[in-house]
Amino acid sequence: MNPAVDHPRWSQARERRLGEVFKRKTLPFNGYADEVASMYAGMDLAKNF
Amino acid sequence: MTRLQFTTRLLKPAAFLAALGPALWLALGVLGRVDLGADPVKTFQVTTGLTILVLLLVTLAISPARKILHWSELIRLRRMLGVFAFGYTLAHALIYFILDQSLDLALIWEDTIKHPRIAVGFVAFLILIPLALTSTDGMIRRLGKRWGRLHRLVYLATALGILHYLMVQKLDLRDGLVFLVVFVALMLFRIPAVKGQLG
Repeated sequence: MNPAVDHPRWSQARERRLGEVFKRKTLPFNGYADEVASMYAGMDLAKNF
Repeated sequence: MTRLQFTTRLLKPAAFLAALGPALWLALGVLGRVDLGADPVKTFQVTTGLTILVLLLVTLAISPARKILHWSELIRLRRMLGVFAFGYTLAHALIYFILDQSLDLALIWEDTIKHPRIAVGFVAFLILIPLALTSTDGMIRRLGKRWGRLHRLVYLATALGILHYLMVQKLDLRDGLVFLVVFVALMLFRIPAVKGQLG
C-alpha cells in the first residue's frame, strides 16, 4: 500500500485500525517495507497503489 | 383530552423519546452494552447521518400534515425535531472533524476540495448552523418575516444532505433514493397550486 497515492475515493495517508478511535499515519508497504519492498522492485507504485 | 393536549402532552414527549433513541443506542454502544460492530466510528456516522435525514424529512412533513389532517397543533413538534436534527448534525460533523481528521485544518480542507461528497455535506452543515441559532423564541420574534425566509434554507440543506448520502453510498443507492422520493413529494406540497388544493 502506497500512502502517498490517493485511492480515487479517499486518501490512503491515514488509517483507523480496528479497535482504535483515532486515525494514524499509514506506513509505506503497511510498515513492512524492509521485508517486502524488494518484491515490488520495478513496479510503478503510483499506479499500483 | 383536547387535541392540543394530546399533541403537547403525549405526542411531543413520544416524539422526544423517539428522536433521542438513536443517541441512546449509540451511548449504550460506547458503554459496551450494545454491539456497534467492527467499526464503531462508522456505525456512529451512519446512525447519526440517517437520523438527520429522517428528522429533517419529518420536519418538512409537518406543514403538509397540518393541512391534510386538519391538525394545526402539530406545529408544536417542529422546532424540537429540527433542533434534534441539528444536534445529530453537530455530532456527525464533530466525529468527522475530530476522529477522522484529528482537527487538522489542512487535512479537512484537502479532503473537502478533493471529494465533492465531503464538500456537499459540509455546506449542508454550514447552512443548518444559522437555522439552529435562530430557533429561539427571541430570535423568531426579532427576525419577524425574515425568519420564515431564512428557514426556507432547510429545503436546500435537506436536498444537500440527501445528495451527500447518495454520494457517500457507493453502489447501493436504494435508501438514498427513498429519501429523495420522500423529499420531492414533500416539496410538491410547497407548490402554491398544490397547496391551494389542500384547503
